Amino acid sequence: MPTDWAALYESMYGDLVRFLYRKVWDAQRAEDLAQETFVRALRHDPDKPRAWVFTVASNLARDEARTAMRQRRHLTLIRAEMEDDPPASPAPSESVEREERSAAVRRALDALSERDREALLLWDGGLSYAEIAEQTGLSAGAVGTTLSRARNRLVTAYKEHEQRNVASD
Amino acid sequence: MSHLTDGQLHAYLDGSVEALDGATLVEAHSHIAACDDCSARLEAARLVRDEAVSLLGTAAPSSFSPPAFEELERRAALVDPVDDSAAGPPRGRSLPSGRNAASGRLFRRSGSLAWAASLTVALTAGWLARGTVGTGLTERPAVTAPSETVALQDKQEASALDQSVGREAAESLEGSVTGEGGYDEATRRSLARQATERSAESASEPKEDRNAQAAAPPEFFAREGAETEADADRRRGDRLAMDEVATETAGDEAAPADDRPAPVAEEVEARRLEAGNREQVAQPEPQRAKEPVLERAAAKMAQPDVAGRPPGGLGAVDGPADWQPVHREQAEALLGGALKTVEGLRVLSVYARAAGAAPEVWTAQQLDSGHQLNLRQTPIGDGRFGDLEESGAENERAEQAAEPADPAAEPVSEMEARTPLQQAYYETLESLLVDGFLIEATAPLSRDSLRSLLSRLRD
Repeated sequence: MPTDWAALYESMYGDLVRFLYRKVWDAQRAEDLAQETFVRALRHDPDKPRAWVFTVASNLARDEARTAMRQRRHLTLIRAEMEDDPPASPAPSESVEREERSAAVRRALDALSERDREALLLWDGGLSYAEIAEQTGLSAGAVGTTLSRARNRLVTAYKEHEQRNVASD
Repeated sequence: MSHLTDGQLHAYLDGSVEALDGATLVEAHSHIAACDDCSARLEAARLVRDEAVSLLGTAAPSSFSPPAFEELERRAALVDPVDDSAAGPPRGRSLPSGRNAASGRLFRRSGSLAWAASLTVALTAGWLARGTVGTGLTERPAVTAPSETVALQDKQEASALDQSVGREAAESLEGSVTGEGGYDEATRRSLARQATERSAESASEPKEDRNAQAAAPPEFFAREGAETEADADRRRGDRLAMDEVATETAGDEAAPADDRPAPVAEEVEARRLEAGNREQVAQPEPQRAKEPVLERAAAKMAQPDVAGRPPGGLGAVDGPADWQPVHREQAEALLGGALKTVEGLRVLSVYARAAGAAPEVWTAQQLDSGHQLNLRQTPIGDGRFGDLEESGAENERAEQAAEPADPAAEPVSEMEARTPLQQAYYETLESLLVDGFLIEATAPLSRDSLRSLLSRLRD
């Protein structure tokens, strides 16, 4: 049965962008990579579209990290675009708070091992345990353990960071 | 049933039928209902899971705007369907060792050729410039004793100085040449260097027509008289080295006239005939060794500088200046695939460099508006997704390299190095993946226009 890519695109795009954003930490770049992933998927028409899309997206994000220095231009541009479009941006205090929280989560995610982080992000992207197992090479039974560990570490690392911030204030 | 593990509890929470098959799920449900300990742990796991979901929710773009699906279909149709290896999950960027070795050989060979060519151009320009500045130049013989030639060289420089920095300084220098002045050797050489630099500048400036150079083909190695902007940059950057060669080896009689470029040899011969047997004021000086001077000059020219930098656009301010002009065939050999260019636009220049393990090729094309489209092409490699630990470590290394821990030590970014006008003018950047290559394009165009142009990318 042929894949309904239009429906899949509609249902997966947000998940995929969030997944990529947590890898490249650049909203515009995450969207670019998500679109590129779907373009590739349309050309290839894989049998397991969801798993395939996340695999390709993950690889693109990995390549992205290798050229992170060049992509810093995008960050500057995005900042400039946000400044050019004040009505769409949140209030400064909200924006700062959000950025700080996002940065803290990023640091907490960085505290995870690569495998734990990948499993957690894939699960949050909507993949099933079986799909996560296929992507990460884990057994299906080990995915629960991995997710348990990843969630605990994420929360713990975030709280530790917050406590350090409070102590420094 | 024994107590549930943390993994089973989370699988139970997530409703994973893969981790807990039907029978196990029912059994787990019964156990949790009967076991206070597991029930409490389940609640704790639920809190942790919900908190993790909440945290992840904050690490997401505030909003995003997906393009219409039809737009993606159109983009997908732009490039012919590719084979599985190209369309499948992209792999690591490591290249076969053979290709790397070939690339390295090419770059090493090209690099040495480039330096040899630039040294020849620099020497030629220096000799020619000397012939255009000052009146005393006509008195120079082609072949003199070493000490005589050094003295004559200094006298010529004094004449040049006379033209540019004032007669008084020139007279003082002249005095030092003839032994009448009070300048010591270091001062005299400093003044002579200034004079030579000015003369070299006056000779090189008219050649620096950006448009003409940008339009010139990147046949840097093959041409002798023509001069690209990279040549001019290289010559400017290495002026000191050139000056030393010009001032200290001008009288190197060990170098026969035949070794010089033909126009220079002819010019020297004409001057020799014109000068006749005129006596030269000469101070006895030890003969300078030719080779150390040339080696020193070559070493200076081999240092990282602006040489080989692509003209304008990305290359003008982008990254280390290790780009080398190459032919299209060389670029394609480096890339291991076809060089992508926008159909219908003239190719102004092609440069390449080996950035780490992956080669990069930079191509400039002329837009109808007269501006420049810059394309940077690099292969995206052939690694597998499965090796997460390795890729994670690579990612972390790359991220650490991209984001120094100490902001104060962070180098100035490419954008920060530009003026606001340059930032506004240059930076429309679009990236796309075509046939296993990551292509980054910049041009002073709107994003839509740039994307439209890139739809015409061809081999």
